Amino acid sequence: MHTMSNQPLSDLTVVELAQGISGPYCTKMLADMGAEVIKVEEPGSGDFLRGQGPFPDDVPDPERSGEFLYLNTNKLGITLNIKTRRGRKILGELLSQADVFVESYPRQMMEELGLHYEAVKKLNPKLVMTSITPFGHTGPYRDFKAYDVSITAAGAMSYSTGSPDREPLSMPASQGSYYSGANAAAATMLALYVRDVKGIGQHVDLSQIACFGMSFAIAGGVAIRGEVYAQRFGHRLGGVYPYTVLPCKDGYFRLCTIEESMWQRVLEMMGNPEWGKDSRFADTSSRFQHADELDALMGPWLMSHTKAELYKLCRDKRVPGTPVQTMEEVVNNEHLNAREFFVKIEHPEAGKLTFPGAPCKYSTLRWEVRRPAPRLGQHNEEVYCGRLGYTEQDLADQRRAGVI
Amino acid sequence: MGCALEGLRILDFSWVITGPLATKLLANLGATVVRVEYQGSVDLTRSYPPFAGGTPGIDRSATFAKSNDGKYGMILNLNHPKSRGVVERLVRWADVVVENFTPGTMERWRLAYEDLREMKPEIIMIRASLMGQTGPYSHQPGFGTMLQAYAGFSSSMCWPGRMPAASSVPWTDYSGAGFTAIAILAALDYRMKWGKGVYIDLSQLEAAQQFLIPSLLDSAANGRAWEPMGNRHHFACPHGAYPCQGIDRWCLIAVFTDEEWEKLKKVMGYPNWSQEERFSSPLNRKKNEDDLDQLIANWTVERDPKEVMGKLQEAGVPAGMVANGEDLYRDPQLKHRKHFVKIQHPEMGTSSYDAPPFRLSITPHRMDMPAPCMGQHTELVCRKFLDMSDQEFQELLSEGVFS
Repeated sequence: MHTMSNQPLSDLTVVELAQGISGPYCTKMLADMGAEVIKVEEPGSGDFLRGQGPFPDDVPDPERSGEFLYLNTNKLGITLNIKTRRGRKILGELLSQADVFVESYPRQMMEELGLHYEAVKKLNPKLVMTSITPFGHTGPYRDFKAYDVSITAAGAMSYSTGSPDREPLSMPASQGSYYSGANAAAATMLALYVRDVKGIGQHVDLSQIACFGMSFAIAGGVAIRGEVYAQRFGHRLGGVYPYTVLPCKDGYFRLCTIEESMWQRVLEMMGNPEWGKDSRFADTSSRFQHADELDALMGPWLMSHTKAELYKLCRDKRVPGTPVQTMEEVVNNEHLNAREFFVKIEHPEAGKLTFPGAPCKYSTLRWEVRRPAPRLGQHNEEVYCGRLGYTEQDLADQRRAGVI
Repeated sequence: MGCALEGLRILDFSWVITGPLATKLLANLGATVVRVEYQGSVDLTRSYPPFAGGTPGIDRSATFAKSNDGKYGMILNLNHPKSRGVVERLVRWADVVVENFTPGTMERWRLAYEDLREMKPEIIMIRASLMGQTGPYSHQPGFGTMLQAYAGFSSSMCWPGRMPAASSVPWTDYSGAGFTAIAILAALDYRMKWGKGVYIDLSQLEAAQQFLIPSLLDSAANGRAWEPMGNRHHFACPHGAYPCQGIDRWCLIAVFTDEEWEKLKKVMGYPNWSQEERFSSPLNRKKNEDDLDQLIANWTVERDPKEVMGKLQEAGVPAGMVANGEDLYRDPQLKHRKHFVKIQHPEMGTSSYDAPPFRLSITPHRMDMPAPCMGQHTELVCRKFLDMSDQEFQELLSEGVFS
């Protein structure tokens, strides 16, 4: 049995000034490893994600947005109007006691409010401050705006996604924001490690676009002299076959064979059909040239099997093949459930929720939900009175003045 | 001030992308990484195109090079009985051991966590396999491109009415790499505070699942499956990739608010159609989305994608040119941030390597070593890191331990 204090970050306080996904996902990872995260929201409206679904039973309610509740689990929530001088002073008091400050506001706005790193450093030199912006804090595009799709597009992800006869396809479900949020958590952890070893705080300036720039095999082309390498091949992968999605009895199945021995095992699975010996299909690149013919030849066999049957055959023959799963199949997946991946949560406002668990399992620490996501301003009293020493009367005054 | 991870030692048995990319990042941040390769299972990416000068070769793949710069490379025949002593010394040298083989592979070499812990009790080990070390399908071999389909990306990432598409890049490998790096840093932090080693079982599938949260939650809460929407978005319109001047050139435009719509109209010069009633509110625009997309495309198609992006951004409309490899290479923003670092490689000549996607204000990253050629540093690692004598090294060499 491991106690909470055994979690690696349980001695840290993190202040989050962010909305949406990337910033909150970054601090969620820190919160899940034990850090105490204080989420700062605008009085009245709060994080805009509160207004976006999915909502249980599709009833919109700012305290019941599934994605907000997921991203803000294990955090404390306060309201503070940082557009007021008084609000910024209070934020400064919080930052002087904090270890980490994560923010995802435009650079110009943070500078105008006097909340940029140079100013914050004076309050607390050992603070690690992480800024998440689409293009980073320096360079000609530093003040450009971006939504999720433009992040993946500018990072060359979209270029290689989709069908060759259509425009590039964006990825589903805010990939740009989640991926850069995870990268921001890694960079913050790194700065914390440096602080532990060398005793210094510093600024982490993360560029969301660069997260994608560094990430893709497409960049393999860049390595040589900026060649265009990866392209769109729809359900196939260029140059190799079978590396494709094909219809089967109850949906779609994906085969990913690279080595020749894998193709031989695919033929075995199909009962070694006569056409398998055709010289036109002798190697992976000639198979790719005749991909339409092969799709047609393999079609009837695939259509006579279900996803589950094909997956079992692939596992038995050690062929890299996989069902194209729907979300419902993922949520009910036998393997994920055997690993107890999904976590059932009872939320005071939203009721029973199923959340995905941690991205990895540690031998020494347990991923757990210590507290549900905060209601708007839920921990004002705890933080302002308990931490910063304000009285109930101060709190009431500031509330009336629109600061809290 | 030195690099962030100066002094940190990583023993890297990983291969292909997830593991190697994570250790590349740590190497760039100052860690000393020894990448162990083995002739019996050469990294698949060593045979992936593109190759320097278009000539294939085990030391010429850019795909391999991009994920392995900054590391020392050694060959060790893990099936040779005398390799055991070398492995033990490597583990004692290291702070962290990384691997991402199919479960069971490290066990065959007697290099499971229990074995490593006997050699060094405070060792940190991370295993980053496709589907984790436990569960009914953990032993299924596979690649990131497969996991896209299994994790649920493909079923909603396609054009309505068409086959599930896929990205040509193994997306889940990259998300797995980020989480691998985080896990290592968290484990180091834990060890620093509690003095104990950590074992981490990372499933690339579970890591990928983190990126499908809204769709997963909707399915779990409301039993709803997300329909493929192509490039469209429930809360935004226009929202898509619009054709521009040139071959296969596109610009993404996303409009969520009325304010952004007004700015878009202004940049287009208030064409007559844009003032029509049918485009006057988010709801009306959504209703007439097909027409709207066509009309915007008529405007973009005569323009350069950079010009479209620049003009819209200047006005405050989030637009992003769909970049390809060449665009990234020439991108003024990435250039300004010194994202690509040129390093000389003995076989490949000068290549550009990617810097980490963030800048630390005090501790810089360091990029001066190319990806290792196969076995390039075997002798250096043995002599310098393991203090092996000449005689011992020669003996092991002649017995085939390093081939």
